[in-house]
Amino acid sequence: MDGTKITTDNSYGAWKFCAWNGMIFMGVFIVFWGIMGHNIPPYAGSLEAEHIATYFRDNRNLVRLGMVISMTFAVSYAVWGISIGKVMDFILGRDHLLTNLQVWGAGLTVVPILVSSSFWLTGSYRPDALPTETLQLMYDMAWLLIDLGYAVTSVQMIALGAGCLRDKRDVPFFPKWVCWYSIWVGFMFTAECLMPFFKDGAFARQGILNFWIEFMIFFIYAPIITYYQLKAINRIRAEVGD
Amino acid sequence: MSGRLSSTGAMLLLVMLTLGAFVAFEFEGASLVAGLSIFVIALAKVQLIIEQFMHLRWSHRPFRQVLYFWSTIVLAVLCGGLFLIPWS
Amino acid sequence: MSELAEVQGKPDVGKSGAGGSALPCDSGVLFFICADMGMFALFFLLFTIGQVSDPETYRASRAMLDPAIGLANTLILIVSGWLVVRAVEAGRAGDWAGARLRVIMALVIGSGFAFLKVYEYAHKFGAGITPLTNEFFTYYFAFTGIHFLHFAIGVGVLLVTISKLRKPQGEATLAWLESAGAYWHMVDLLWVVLFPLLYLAGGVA
Repeated sequence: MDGTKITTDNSYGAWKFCAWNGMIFMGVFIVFWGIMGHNIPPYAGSLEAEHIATYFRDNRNLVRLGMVISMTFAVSYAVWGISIGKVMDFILGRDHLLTNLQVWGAGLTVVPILVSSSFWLTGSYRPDALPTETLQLMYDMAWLLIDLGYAVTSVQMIALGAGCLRDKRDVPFFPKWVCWYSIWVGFMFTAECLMPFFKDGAFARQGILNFWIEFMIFFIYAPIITYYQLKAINRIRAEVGD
Repeated sequence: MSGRLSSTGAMLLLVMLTLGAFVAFEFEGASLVAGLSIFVIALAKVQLIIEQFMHLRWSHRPFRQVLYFWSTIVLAVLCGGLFLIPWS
Repeated sequence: MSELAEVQGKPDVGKSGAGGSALPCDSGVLFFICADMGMFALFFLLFTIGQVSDPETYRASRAMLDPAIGLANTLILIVSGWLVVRAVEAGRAGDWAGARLRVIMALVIGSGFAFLKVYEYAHKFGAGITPLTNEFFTYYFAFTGIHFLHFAIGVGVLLVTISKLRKPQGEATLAWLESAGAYWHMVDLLWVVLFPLLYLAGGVA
């Protein structure tokens, strides 16, 4: 494919910075949302409201800081998705449906992350004034939203996999297994549909499947894609020139 | 297992193994031996499907090895579990 | 030259597989299949742990399942899988019409699985048994439900295959047929383990 026809934009440095936003997002998400927000792993769905209230009351400042940073950097996911979209332009040509789906999926992923983080933040804002059941409600809402918002991210992942599989290069930008991994993760996320029905066991929000497996395959998703994305940008630069 | 089994032969073998497992269950249902036989038969069927139906006996070496590993682990887990429950 | 190609007296049909394979089944599809089977291995482990910690509930619950339906579904998937193998063999020999007919037959026979599964679910719900009844039924509904989702996707894939076989494009169509076949065999293979796990082994009370 003749790269020069696709775009005259040669701001590779900015492009790479945007690509690195995937890693920035993941790092922030794990450290600030996960560790500082006490969300890795979540408190069990079966716990008493008192337990959840104590979490908000004892860790209010940690949770506030964690969620403030998490909300600030949630948009990094969209920035990352847009820069993946540019690599996909060089695979599929400009304005391809799958590229648009990938970009929109990544962009919309920001919404459940942003809004659910705001629930944790609200819980930690005045935890002494709020009744325990209300604090439990905030916590449940946050988890239900972040888990059940999976479908927008699935759109990104499946569109990315399906799109990059169409790469006709001898050595494609994204290897086949990466494309299929992307499709598989997007597909696997559907297991989150089981989560609201359980407070204990493998399918509950803290369970082996619905937390450990689902979040683990998501945590390693961005590094894998970003690695091949950065290599692809270098190859495009070599193909098209400055 | 035979490398040159025809697909029809493989299918007939799979049907017979399935019926064999079912008979073991019907007549010896609540016993450790029946349970173990049923799982061994199931994993033999898995091997047949991987080799003869998916044709992995002849190709895709790394995937074939992954699937053999999978079968071994699954068989160990399933049979190990049977040893850990009480039998009268 | 591969052993199979020798057996069939045919030259190698493609080079797209992993490990220098002579068969065109897509390595990416096999990666997906392996990842999915890894997930099911975890399901089998979860079930085994549950059964070890509460064998009586599991046995009593297993007694409420009808193994004859499970048996029928196993046989349906085996025969349907065999028809897909026959379709691949026909495709390799260049008999696209024969391949298409066999995929249609595989789909028709395979759809029996859906009828029996829906009947079984309806029967369970009718008897007041839901995924929340106990842990056994949580796993029963979740695992067979996720498996059924795989089955439904497989049906979609076979439908696309039938349409592609109407206007075959050589190597590409063969690769699609082989990959679709591999996926369909995975649906079969997972059921082959799910059936004894849920319905048979471990005993009934």
